[in-house]
Amino acid sequence: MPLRQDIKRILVIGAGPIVIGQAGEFDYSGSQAVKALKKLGYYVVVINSNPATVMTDPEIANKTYIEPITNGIIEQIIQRDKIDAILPTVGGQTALNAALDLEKEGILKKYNIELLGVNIKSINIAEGRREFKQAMDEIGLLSPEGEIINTYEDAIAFAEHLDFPIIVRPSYTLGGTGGGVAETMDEFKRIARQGLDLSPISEILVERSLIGWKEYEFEVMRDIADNVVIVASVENFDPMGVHTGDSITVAPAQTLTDDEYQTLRDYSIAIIRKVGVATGGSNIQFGVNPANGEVRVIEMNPRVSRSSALVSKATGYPIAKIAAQLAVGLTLDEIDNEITQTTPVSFEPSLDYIIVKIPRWDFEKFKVPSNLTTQMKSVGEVMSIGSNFREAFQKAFRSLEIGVDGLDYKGLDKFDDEYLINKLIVPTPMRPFFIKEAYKRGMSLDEIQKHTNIDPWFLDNILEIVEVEKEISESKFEELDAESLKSYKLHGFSDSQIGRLLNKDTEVIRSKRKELKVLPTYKKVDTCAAEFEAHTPYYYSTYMNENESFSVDRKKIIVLGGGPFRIGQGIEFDYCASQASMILKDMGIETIMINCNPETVSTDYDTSDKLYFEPVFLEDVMNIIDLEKPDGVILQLGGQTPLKLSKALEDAGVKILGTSQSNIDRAEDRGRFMEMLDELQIAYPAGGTANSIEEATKIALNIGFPVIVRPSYVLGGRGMAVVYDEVDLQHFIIEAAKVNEDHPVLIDKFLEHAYEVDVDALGDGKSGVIAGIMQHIEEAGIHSGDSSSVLPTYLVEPHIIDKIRFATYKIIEKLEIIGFINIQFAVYRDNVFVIEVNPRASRTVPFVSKSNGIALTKVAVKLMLGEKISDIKMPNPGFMGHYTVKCPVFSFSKFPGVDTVLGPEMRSTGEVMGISEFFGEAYVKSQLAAGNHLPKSGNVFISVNDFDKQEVLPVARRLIELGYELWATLGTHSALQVAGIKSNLIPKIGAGSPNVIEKIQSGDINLIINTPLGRKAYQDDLSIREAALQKKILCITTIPAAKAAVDGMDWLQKNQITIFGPILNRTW
Amino acid sequence: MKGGITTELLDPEEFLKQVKASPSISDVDLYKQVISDKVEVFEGNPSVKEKIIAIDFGIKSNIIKDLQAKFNKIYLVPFDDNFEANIADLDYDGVFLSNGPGDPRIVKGIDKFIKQFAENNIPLIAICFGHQLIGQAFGLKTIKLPFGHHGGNHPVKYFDNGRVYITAQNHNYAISNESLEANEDWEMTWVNLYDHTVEGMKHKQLPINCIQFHPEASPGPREANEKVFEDFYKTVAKQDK
Repeated sequence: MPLRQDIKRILVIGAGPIVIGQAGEFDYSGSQAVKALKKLGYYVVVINSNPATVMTDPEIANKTYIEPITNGIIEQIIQRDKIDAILPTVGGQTALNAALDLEKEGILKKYNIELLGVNIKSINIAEGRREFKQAMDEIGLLSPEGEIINTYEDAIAFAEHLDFPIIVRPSYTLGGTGGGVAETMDEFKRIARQGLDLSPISEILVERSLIGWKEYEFEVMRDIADNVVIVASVENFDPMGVHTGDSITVAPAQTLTDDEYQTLRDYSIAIIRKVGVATGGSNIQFGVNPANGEVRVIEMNPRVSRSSALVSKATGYPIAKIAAQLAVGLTLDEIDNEITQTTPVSFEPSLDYIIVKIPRWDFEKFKVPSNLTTQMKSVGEVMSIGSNFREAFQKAFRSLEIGVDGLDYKGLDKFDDEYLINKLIVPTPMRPFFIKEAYKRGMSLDEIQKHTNIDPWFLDNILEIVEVEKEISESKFEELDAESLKSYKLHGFSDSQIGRLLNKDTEVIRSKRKELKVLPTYKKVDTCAAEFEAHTPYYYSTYMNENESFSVDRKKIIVLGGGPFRIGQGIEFDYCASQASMILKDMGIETIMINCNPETVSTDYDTSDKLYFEPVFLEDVMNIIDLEKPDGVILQLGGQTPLKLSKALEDAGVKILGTSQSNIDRAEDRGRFMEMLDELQIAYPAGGTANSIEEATKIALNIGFPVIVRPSYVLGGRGMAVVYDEVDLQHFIIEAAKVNEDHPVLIDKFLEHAYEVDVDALGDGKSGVIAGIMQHIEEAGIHSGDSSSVLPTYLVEPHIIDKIRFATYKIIEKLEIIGFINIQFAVYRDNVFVIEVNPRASRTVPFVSKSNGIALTKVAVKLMLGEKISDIKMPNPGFMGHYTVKCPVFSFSKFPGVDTVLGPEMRSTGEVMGISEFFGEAYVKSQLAAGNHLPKSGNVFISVNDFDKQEVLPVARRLIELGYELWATLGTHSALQVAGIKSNLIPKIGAGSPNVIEKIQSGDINLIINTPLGRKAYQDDLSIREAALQKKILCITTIPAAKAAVDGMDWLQKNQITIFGPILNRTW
Repeated sequence: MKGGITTELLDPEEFLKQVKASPSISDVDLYKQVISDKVEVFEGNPSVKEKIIAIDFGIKSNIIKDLQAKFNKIYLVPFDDNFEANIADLDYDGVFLSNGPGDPRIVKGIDKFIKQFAENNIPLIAICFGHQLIGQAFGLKTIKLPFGHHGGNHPVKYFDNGRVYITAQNHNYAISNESLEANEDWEMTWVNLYDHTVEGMKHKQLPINCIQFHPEASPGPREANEKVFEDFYKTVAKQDK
């Protein structure tokens, strides 16, 4: 079919902020789609609220709006840019929902807008439970047996027809709280009753549980001519019961016979036709009963999904790009496979390797149990490629950045057998390590299979790893020969693992390996298992015979990516690394990317000249450096992961571009850093290091409470806290920090009510230039990543800004910064304190870049290549006539029982940006985009701690002026009364009815201002915040945020939100 | 020219010797090693009446299954010295030529039967090897492909409906495009989208319809199955008044 000529201007909707279940993969798919459509000659407009994305880089589309994804905003874009069609299939559920909303409001019809790649009917069939089930019935396929039920009697009646186990899921409880799996009728009765009680609308979903079944995913593409291809099959290592996003997965499927595979393939084709996805990609999930082969269709996503990103990287078949091309009328046989350049994409990739995906979790940050369930909780993932499962599996663990160098976790031998068996039965991130431990204790494959339900094929592979490990540990280093070493490497063992087993340093093994010429060979990911010549340099390592990657004799630079997304190290660094590659490429330098995160643009095969899909792990990075012999390595753009390698790389004689290792160390080593600040006469909060509770108390008393306490060693989860007295301090240290000589704690003065200022700047080794000074809305003590921040500063006096500027320049000069630096300041009673320095690109680089319209990474790369600031005619990054507000976005609803109060530990998963000429509007937009609902009228519940009782008064007064009704529990009520502010008294929990929780749950409260009341009232506080989360009511936990919210509400009452012009691209 | 691929024997000289010593694929009637020595009868679909002979050059059992679903009865007759005698008394409405191993150009004696069937207006259908034999009998050329087709992911386009089907393929030889284009009696029905190899053709006047790829799958994708075997049935049934 020919390319559509009747549409000219296409709006692509992005996925908005990163939340659990919807991460960077949609930046990858979004930017691919935009680039593809632009190349076909369309005028492409992008809307996305997430500034950290490559997709919102102004160079990608013809026009880019960073605005909340709402009907009102989209309608304005449709008018202003004369949009003909909208592509809603590459921006995850967010974009699809936006399309449904536009349809519902009649906006599509009003402007005669066509939806590309999907139709409303298909979305309704795929997403509607009953509709989908019926559609499957009609084509003779089975879906899970389940029913939505509202009464106890109906539940019993329905359950009588089901096979056990039966799963009960209450509607509208957080993360499915109150549900469970019943093995017997008695259990079912209990759980059903509890579920109905807990569900606010007395509704439960009763379903036959498929726990323990094998789980598969098929990625399907269909074009307008009804051609269908399966891009890949994916098999879950973890059987059903664990969300597929939380499962370890492999591609292609490993344990299906041809007949079983073809059956699922046929089903997939039948399903995409039945649901009616006319063009583009879909993802279909199946459960297969291992006992009898029974197949159930679990669900279908009628759009590009997380797994399509994975499958694109796994196969070299760019699903989102092709989906976009199909959406505008091309057919699969008309699109060339970019990798072979001679064959069409109407084929099915064949893989002569295996890929393993392992999710990355951050449970410690949320202080909740790490059980894996049908609710996805992982915050990122890694993918690895190997020539067999064992190699890829161990490599994936190496990629995860969890302190392991393979399938090897220290200290599991201390647990008793009962504990171990429980850890086999209940899936957690640790389960693969426990499987290995079980083997080491002599448990058989059959027993492990019985406990885990994991397919014997996977378990047998793990057994082989255990056996090879035994073989290594029983061998002698002196007798190590090339053949055995190569075999170990093919089983995925890292040099450090082998070294540990042979009691040798990693470096000794490495030298020996090189001496024996056991070197990795790099193979191409080519879609066709070498059937045709591949033209894309996309490589993975293995230890087979022939190496396919050759170093070319030209100037080349390696850029290290950031590894898996996790809290604190997200998509921002993918933006920076991808930008760097594109810039270097433009400069004619060969760029080589190393990264292992499939949810990224940096691992797209056309971002860099060469892509190594490999762990950002010393051994793997050094192997590539040995082969490529680059002119330099850039590691300041990938967050903390590559920066941590700086010392080892420098020791190995690798040229690091940017700030020198010794200066990186000076910024990161607390002692050396303080020394430097003293010398520069720059203030920092008083503090010290304590090896015991007594010492900690002494330091705290000396510098005065409150203090901020954190362990000096980085082991996620131990966290940090602000404590206000001796009792709290001791309590925290005993409970959380477990101080001793090996594990000292750091005690710092907590600057109460200080506000925080974040500076992103650049240096050329001598002088510096400030790119942006941001003011945090939340005060110091709230992690900077969890604070809203405003660019430019809106409350900081000029003389304070001056102090900040001077300090920044002094630090840049002293550290001889080359490239990026980020400095966090606390402003406390007119004094400026340095809290932290990061000698690398910070989380805010994309935000500042887009706010100012300056591609900062471009400047940084030039500086790293030796240019001087005075030579770069960068535009002035001063006030641009607009405000931008960055607002963090959290994924709390995935974690039942989590406390949403903000603190020194970062927990946000994403961010959005609001931009406007008016501060009030920019703030409102940021809240809107973050999904925080600011009410225009209604009831505000206020409950604040004693410290805040005075601070909250002006907030309360303004709320009254704006016409809101106030509600408060006794303490706050009294404080308001004394100040002459009218509020309604509302009973605490257990002090009468309706109490505060009931009031919130009934939907009577529209906004909550709740600053934490301390340990004693903790449970009440927690219940309030939990109820708010459940009812999706904005719950503000700091006074400064409340003040900003009131400003926003004031603005919202008086004005309409309008789009600010497109994002600037100031070139020079 | 002979060639070899090895992942085991890595000494080039040694391997070259081994390759040179092996017989050429065109010197051996490979199919003779894999066919049965007697006629077998398979009952098929009782709701239709058409019976066919399937000439065995090494037929895959799944082809028999698929034919059973479409035809009333299948007489599986090996192509050996008794072939003529074996089919003499059979009652049939069409003839199927099976897949098989090796070089179709060295098969002796089949041409005259194919011509005979065609002259008597007996419908001919075929898969793979059989497809090449039919082409040869009608003067089309069989060529050895520079890169043989093996695997389960080959896209072919069916001109009749313009659709692309993913198919299983396993052939080193093919009907040459040039000879097909030059022959006015034949038209290409299916084409490989990788390299435009002829994947199916039919005779413009006679009831002859044959396929190069493997619609019976096993292993491989099954999506072209229904289309091809339905076409086969129609080819045979149309002549059947």
